[in-house]
Amino acid sequence: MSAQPTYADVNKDIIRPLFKPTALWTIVFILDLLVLGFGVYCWSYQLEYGMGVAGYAPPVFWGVYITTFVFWVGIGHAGTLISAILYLFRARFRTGVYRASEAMTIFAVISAALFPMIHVGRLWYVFFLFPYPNQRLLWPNFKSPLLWDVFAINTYLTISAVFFFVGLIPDIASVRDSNRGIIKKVYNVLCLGWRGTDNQWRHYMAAYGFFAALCTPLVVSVHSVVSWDFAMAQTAGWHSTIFPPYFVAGAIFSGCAMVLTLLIPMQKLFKWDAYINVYHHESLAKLCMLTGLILTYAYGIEHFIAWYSDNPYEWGIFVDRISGNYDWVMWTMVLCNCTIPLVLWFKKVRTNLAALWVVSIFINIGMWFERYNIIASALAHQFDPGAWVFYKPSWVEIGILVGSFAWFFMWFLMFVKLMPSVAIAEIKEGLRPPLRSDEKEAA
Amino acid sequence: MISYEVVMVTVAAAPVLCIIGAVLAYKVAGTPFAKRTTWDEAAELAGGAGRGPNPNNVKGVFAYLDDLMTAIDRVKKAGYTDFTVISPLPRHEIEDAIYEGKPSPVRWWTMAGGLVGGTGGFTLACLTSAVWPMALPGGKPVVSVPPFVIITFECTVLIGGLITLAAIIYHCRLPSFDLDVECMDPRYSSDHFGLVVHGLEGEKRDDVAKLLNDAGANEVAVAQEA
Repeated sequence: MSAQPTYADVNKDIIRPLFKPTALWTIVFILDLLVLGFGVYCWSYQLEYGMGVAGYAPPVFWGVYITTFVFWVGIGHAGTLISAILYLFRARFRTGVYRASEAMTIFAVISAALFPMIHVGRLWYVFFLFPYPNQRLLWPNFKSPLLWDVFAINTYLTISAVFFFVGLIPDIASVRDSNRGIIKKVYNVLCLGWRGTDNQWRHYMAAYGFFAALCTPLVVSVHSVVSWDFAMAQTAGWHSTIFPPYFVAGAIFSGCAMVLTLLIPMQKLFKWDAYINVYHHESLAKLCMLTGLILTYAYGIEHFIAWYSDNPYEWGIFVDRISGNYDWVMWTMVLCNCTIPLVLWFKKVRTNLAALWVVSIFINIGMWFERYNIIASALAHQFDPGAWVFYKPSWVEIGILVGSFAWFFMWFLMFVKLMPSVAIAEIKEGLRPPLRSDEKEAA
Repeated sequence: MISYEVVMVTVAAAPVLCIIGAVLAYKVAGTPFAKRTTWDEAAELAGGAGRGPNPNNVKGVFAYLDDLMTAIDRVKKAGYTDFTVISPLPRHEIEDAIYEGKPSPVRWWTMAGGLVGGTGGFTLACLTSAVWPMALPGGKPVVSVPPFVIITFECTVLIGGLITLAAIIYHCRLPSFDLDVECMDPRYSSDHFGLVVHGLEGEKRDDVAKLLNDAGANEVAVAQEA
């Protein structure tokens, strides 16, 4: 391939991996479905026998499910950050990576949305969360952070999905025009008959800018609202004003790490070096460096304020986190989120894809443990020493946790085979257009 | 205590009133809200795809953007206003050449949607709290503005986004399965640009075909009249 691909190259390269499952893809997909099947079994077991099968130890009733919910919401943060905020800032590295990041966002939020349903136990009453007219005149409490969360997550999912779909329309049209038969017909319906006329592009581009503008505050708000699930409670270890920025930084940190985890293998497998390369990965690594430092600062200040408050209950939680039953959770978190990412300060590491991929995995692990550290250790060590317990997840909870990863990867694996994972039209926008004057000069 | 019926009627009426207000403001401001573009008229007149080439259209396919821009310029100077440009990517020079900086009306939809969503969300939170005053955690007032700002914000973004989607569908005339076949060349989504001039008869077709050829079109197609 030449230094700059042509418009036709872009179509060919990005559409090429679609519809043809390779042996590797098929094996991974089947294994993924097997793991998902185990997760579904665990959930059905819980539905059959009740919440007693989870490892809850009163007063700890928020455990792995809420931890994993917050984890997936956090993962879902990076996609819209990359697609909306970086669009408004005209960050060049966004173009190659935003489509896969947006897909990751949608699938992560779909995964997160499972957990309130799993957590409430009686799944068939989950519609109680929504405000709907009913003859008992019952309405949800709009002063509750949990209801704010229902609105925040659903708005985030809806608007991110719309933004994702709108971005896909011209590229689905490209897939349609590269295929025949039933695929052509299906993709023609999916792209709503898009043709790229002047009128269509004009309104499309105006609307795209507005979507980006609407999504930008949403990115910041959604994890702030999630953090208020905790910070608004009179619970030692949670009741802190630094939670919103601390959670947002953590979400961007974990989201960017997950983008790296997914994109590095994609680039290699699909040979997309012309569209996703070290420049994109290094830019994401720099975002991880920045947000990782903010997070490390937040960990430090959280402990400092607990000590400085002179509140024995507050400080007790933090001492327990450092040296109590959950110390291994705390130190795993510090190792994965604060220490290991320091290697990203070396350009050699940032530009070494294998090393970057390994670091991104550690960050993913560390960010799950961070949420577990916040939730489980705080509830297990509240004001009354008589109520101090040790919460240990049951096999059902672990099965559902693992199943949620399989659920997420199932969607992502299907996505890479059914939709263009790199934005075709936007990649072309970054290239020099074909000009006859250039041809004449070259001649 | 406010009755259930009052709450429901008010919740339902608030967004409707907002929509009416936004549309009235629109009309008063004189924004060309429902003005149809030449492309829309052409597609409507042509009767849609699947009926073979339209003998009143002349189609030019361009491999180079500068040739396309030359062709647009010459077509406009020759007095033809009913034409469609098709491209695999958005280009500002194409939009500027055709619409001469006139902004898309989508922005009004987004604003109206945001206003409707925000007022609707705030109204919903206020009135449902009023009708269910037992929910008073922490002794907060029935209508407690700070927590309701969150619901207001979320509903602003939600409805603003959904209405913007509706705006794309309306203004882009989606789904657009009934375009002229001349606008549906698969090369347009890859690496070629198209310029289709509509509503031509007799010698004008040959004039436009020559004009497109001279501008550097790779291919010019003129359907035979039946």
